[in-house]
Amino acid sequence: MAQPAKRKTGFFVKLFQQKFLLLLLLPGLVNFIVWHYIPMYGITVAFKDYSMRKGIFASPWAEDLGFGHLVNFLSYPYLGRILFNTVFLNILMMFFLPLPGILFALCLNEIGSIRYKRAVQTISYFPYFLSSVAVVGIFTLILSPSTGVVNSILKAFGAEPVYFLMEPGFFRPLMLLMSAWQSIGWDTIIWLAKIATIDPQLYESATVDGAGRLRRMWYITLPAFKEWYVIGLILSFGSLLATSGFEKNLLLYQANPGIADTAETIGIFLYRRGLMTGDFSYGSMVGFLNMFVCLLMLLMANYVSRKLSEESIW
Amino acid sequence: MIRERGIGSRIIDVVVYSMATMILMLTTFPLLNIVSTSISGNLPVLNGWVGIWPVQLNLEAYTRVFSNWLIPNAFINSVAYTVLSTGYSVLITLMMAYPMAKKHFVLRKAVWILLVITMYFNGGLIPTFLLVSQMGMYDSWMSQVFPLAIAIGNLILMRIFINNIPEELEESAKLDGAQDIQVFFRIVLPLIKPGIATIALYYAVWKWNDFFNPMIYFSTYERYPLTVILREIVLQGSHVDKFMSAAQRASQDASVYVEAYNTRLRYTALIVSIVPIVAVFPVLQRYFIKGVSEGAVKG
Repeated sequence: MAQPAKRKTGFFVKLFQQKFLLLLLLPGLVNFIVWHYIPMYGITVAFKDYSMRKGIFASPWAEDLGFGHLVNFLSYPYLGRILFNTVFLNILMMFFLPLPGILFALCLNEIGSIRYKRAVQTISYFPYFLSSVAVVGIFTLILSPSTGVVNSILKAFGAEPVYFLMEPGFFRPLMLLMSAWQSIGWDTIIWLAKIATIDPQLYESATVDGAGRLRRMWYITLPAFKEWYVIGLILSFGSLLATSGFEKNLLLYQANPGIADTAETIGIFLYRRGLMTGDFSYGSMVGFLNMFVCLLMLLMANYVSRKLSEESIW
Repeated sequence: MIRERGIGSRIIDVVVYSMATMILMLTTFPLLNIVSTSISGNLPVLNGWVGIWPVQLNLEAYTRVFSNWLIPNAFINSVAYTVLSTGYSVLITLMMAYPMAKKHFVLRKAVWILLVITMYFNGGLIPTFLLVSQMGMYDSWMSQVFPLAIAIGNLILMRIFINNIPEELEESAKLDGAQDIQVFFRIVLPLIKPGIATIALYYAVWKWNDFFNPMIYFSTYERYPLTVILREIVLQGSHVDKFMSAAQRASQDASVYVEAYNTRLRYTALIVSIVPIVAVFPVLQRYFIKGVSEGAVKG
């Protein structure tokens, strides 16, 4: 008879019993409420004409029933360009960025000498730990038209020096190059871990059936990679409008604003209009809209992925 | 895996070894080049003659980098922000992860939902910036420590580490009459030390490398961390004259010195910012991999 009574222990009684857990939770919880939930209220700035002096609450509502900044942004003449730049950069990144890591992992997986494999892999991790400033700095220096080593090699072959960082056409390849350089080694950890999940019996029975190394790679390892790659692609469709590699993008753009044609993405635009010009309301609107669309696309990508492969974020 | 001795297998060996070696060379080349250039002579540096080996050894740029307070000061700032924010973040992440790891905790589910929402929906750049400013944290170290102190990924990782402790250990301690507090400090804490080290390094690398946040929240040189100063020197080519001696500034060839330093300081400043990462790299990569494998298995 005591059992049912015990189950009905009230919420607050339980909470009181767990006061030590609650105490531990509190600082983190406060941190989340202050730094994540109060700024959510701050989104109202997007629908107002924010003035520092009046503060968020007392600032007047924007025109067009508060949607003035939205109307403004949607009629921004370069809207098409920044959308295209963002989406195109993301598409390039999601299709090409995993490939060097996959290739590298495939090679490492076939290397017999464990010591050599470990050494190569460990050294290749290093760029992953560098700041984006250092990475952009390194590439800026070695690609410099006057003092960089790449151009002095080109010059040795009689070619004209190339202004890699000032040409809009080089922005996307450069973003890919820098990101690949940073992630090629680190990505192999995940890819090699995935190879380890392939059933070894598959390889054994293939060997019994007379398949050589190349055939086993081609018919067992590679198809597995293809599946993971496709799942990754579907999931990353959700972040098509997020600004990937934002810090690198910003650093390249700030150093040479002349590359805006290709380098001005939503993140950059938001930073320039919102923070640099101090157009807080307009910037908040751009940020809010971006996040909203991102969320929708993420839900869509997750839905599709769940249908196709039973893998999802949640 | 089964190894074969056939000719086809040999060819594959040659291909994979040479490809892996080539990738290794491509990833190390930029690093070797900047290190060698930073210790080469003026003429080779200015003409881009340095490959992976220093030409005409010259360490002058290193003495010049430390001749001005700018870089040492930024270095100290970076260390201070990293230590303070990592300490604070690890502390509250650890504290929060423990109740979130306990299935019987009554608020677990509600708080979890609260956290997950913030992963997909947040105020965004400008509302956060306005809040930080209104709290009086603009141009203060506090802007680097308090806002967004908990990374959800690290919280989840910490929770996994805590859940790895066998439940029976805590149960038996409680049967022996230990209080919750004693269980936490005597049993849980000693067992999750590797987990704490892992997330501490995750936070530390993140903060050390952070560039955007310090850039938007600081407005005085004295408070800039290394990343922000590094950008000004390496990418904008500013501050060159600050590193020249009075005699050099006054001499007739001042412009020659400016040109030489402009290039050489960039390389040297870059190296100075990379050296700490090199120093801790062996530890860093080991713990980072630990985090990846823990997260991949259980998360």
